[in-house]
Amino acid sequence: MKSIQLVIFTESFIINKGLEFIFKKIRGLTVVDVVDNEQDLLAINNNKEVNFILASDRMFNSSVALINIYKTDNNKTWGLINTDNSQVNGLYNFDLKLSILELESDTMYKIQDYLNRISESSNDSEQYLSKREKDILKQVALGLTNSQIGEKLFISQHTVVTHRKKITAKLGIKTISGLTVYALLNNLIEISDVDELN
Amino acid sequence: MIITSSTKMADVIIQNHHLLAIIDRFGIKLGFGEKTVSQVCQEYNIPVDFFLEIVNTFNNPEFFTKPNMDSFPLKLIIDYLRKAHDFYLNVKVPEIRLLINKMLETDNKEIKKAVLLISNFFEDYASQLRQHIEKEDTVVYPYVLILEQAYETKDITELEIFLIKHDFKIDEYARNHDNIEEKLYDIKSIIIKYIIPDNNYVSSFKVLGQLAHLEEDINDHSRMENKVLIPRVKKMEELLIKLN
Repeated sequence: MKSIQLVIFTESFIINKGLEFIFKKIRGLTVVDVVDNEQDLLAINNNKEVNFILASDRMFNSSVALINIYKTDNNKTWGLINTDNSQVNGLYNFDLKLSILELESDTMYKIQDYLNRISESSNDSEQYLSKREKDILKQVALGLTNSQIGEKLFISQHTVVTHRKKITAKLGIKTISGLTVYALLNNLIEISDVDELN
Repeated sequence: MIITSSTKMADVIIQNHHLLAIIDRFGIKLGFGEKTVSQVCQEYNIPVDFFLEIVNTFNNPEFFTKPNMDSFPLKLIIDYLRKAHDFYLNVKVPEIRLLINKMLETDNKEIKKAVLLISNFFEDYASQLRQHIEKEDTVVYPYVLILEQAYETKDITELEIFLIKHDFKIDEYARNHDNIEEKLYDIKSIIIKYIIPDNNYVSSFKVLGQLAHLEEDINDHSRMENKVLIPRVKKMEELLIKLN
């Protein structure tokens, strides 16, 4: 998953600064800019990196520029920050909804929970190793090098590396010794297989 | 909390008991009553600025951004790092080994098999740690001290003799650090994720606590080597090359 590159857009300097302060404390996202007018919003929107816009209810109800970006840009994710309790058109889809009146614990919980949900490792189908990944893990655990694994399984070294990165991301285990222990614990290989090597 | 020279030494330990291992490295013993950090440091003949730098960075790694560390003699830093080595090998590793052995006391075959794997993994880690530390104690640190001397006296005779005996590059040594830290991390997460304890769960809690403590301490130790020691070594190396 790409990391979140966030732009914050509300009418209030103070709210913007407050949100920026909060988001900067959180890992896994970057605050690209905070803006309080349409001109600045359009300027920063040219930055291709920006993939998340958090805007206030008032802006969704009044900013033509914001609504245009929403309608035309399919590569962005959207968040709403409730500042004046006005109703926002139900047609908009928000992945994250915050309010300036809620408790600190609620705000932090929502943000962290959102980040957890979009991260690869918590996605159910992503959590477990695929058949192919298990094959590769077995060979890694048996001490084979990337090129040996490639030859054995008829795939390029590059593919082996890609699989290995995915395995490490899913299991959270970085070292070969760690992966070997995992493979033994989960009966992917037998102790006798490892002993033969030594 | 930022610790200052007027902070009471007792409060230093009360707010983070992991600093016990740190003050031990300075030879400081408990029972300091109401004495302040500067009074205790004076008593033990420890430069108070150095002490503050060490405990504050342990508490808060951001503290390292300040360049104070560059003003201390490398011998002071290396003495401290050596004592940390001693603590890892002679206190922490045996402690963890003992606890893992306790975990092995089970009749459940499945669990026993799993813990045995952890035990082997830990021994593998411990021997790599020992090798790494021995290399630091016998080659890296002596090199740094000789380099500092050469840098100060502008006389590189001894340095040249040393380099003939040991084929050594500071860069290679820096890279070796990561792998050791990753192993420790893996041991910890495998125990958390895959070891289902039966009646010996207290031992696994203790093992995890000890592993986390060792990890925290070693990370602090590597930070000091990577951010203070190595940059200073590189700077001196560059200047000496220019001079010759």
